[in-house]
Amino acid sequence: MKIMKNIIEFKNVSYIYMPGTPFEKVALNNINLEIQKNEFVGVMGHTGSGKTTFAQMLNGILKPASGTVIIDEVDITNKNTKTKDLCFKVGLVMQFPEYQLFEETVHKDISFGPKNMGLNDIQINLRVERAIKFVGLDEKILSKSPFELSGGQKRRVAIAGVIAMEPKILVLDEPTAGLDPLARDEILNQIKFLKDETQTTVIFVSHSMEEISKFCEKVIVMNNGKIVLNEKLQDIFSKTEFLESIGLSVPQITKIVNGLKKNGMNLNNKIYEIPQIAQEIKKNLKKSEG
Amino acid sequence: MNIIEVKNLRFSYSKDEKDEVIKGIDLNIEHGEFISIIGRNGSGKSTLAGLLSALIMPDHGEIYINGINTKDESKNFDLRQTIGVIFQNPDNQLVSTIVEDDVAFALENLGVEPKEMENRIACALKSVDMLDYLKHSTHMLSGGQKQKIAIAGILAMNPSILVMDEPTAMLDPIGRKNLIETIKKLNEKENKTIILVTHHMSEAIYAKRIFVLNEGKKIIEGTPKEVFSNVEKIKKIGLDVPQPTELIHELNKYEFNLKCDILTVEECVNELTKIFKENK
Repeated sequence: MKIMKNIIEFKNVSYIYMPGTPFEKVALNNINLEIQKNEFVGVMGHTGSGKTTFAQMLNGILKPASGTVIIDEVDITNKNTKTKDLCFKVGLVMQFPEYQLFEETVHKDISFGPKNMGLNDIQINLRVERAIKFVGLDEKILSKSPFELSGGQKRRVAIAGVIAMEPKILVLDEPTAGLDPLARDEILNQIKFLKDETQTTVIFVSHSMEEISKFCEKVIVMNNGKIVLNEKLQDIFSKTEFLESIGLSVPQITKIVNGLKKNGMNLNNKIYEIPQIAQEIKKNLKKSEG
Repeated sequence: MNIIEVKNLRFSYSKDEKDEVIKGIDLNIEHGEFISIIGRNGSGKSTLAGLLSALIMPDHGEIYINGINTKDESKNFDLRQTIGVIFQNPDNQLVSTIVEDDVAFALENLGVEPKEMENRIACALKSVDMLDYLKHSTHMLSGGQKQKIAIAGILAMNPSILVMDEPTAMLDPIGRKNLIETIKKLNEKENKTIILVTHHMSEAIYAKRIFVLNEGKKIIEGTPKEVFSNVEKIKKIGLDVPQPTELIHELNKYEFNLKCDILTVEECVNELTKIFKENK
């Protein structure tokens, strides 16, 4: 039995945008949190709840106004900690990352991270090839300019650029916005595979409870800069009224289950996959037949 | 009357037939219709939206908007006032720092009288429920609010057609719901013809008709109920059906014979409850 270690710890962390101005806004309000190695954690919350601030704090882009952030046993809020090392340890895929592609070729763009880590050319090439395959693109694309690619391809190249650094923690801030349903599932399946193969810890910020329910084991819900729920995935579906009250949308399928229960069906509200739910409904319909 | 007619439309960015992204599309859209276009990334949706808004010109075939061929450059000015276009990214579509100025932008270019301009700005902002924000600065608005201001800027020109290319892609669920309500209202109350390109099936169901594109061709066309009852076909090309439709489809595998044209949560709950109570 392996001992579970916390790879991320937040202790009383707060962050304020534009302090001392009329626009002052508390983005994170006394956050306490522990995430274990190799977990796949979903972070939900409506716009302005502090999700993105939280994500950016994980790799040191933002430093807390107060409190302590410990990543992989290093206190990153300590002034003597080098932020550069953190950038390699925590890979952050920001919203609409395709806008951040800048090099002449896809190969150069993906190499940017590994190069800055000080790897040699052989190691860099190896990582670039691995990363491009991982995101489901053909190696032929490496010699193209990133600007010749379609939106979906650009998104994959941007994710490959982060994965090539082989970070211990992968933070994805709404990585699937604007992708079609199949592309969404493909990218998230690949990330799930990466998590299982390499023991990576994944933090996945999303508006979509549908997506979170397909891939995450744990869910953190944020509201007004605070963590209001921190639960196992199956426990979140029985709290739909609360989620709606803080402006989150629950999956249609969950609304159907709630509606049917109200009308007298006997259904387990910890399930969230359509085939499972169909099974349960079937039992209700069949039972009453006899 | 058809406000948009598309005949044998073909288009490629490289002008090489091998690279065609639109491979022979015919469409008719009536005045005041609400149309959704769905399809995978790269299926030609955005290109079609660009062609319909006369931002790009067909290689082959014709597009008539209100009887005007989009290739007729002498009528370009009329066309621009007939069609308004909204894109994905709200930040790329605002030009001024104050809401009022942003909505006024096109009107100033059209040389509208100041008194008339005030009226039109107020009307446009009222249509998208943003009149209270007249004097606000644009960069402090949320994504959904920005998108509404972009729409208001277009409404001020009083176009009869609104082409929207994934206008909700960058919005959160509340912003998205709100924007869809606004779009529905513009269609129902102001009789605007709406063409909505989207990846969200839960948005597409509000259209009167849906066109499904795949590899540059229109492969399915019909009402949302007709389109989404093809669960297998829709899934095969990599798209989703609304969850209520999928649940019913799943249950019908057990020979329940439920109505297969169910799209909303309410319809689904009602249908299942009816059978549940009948069997009791």
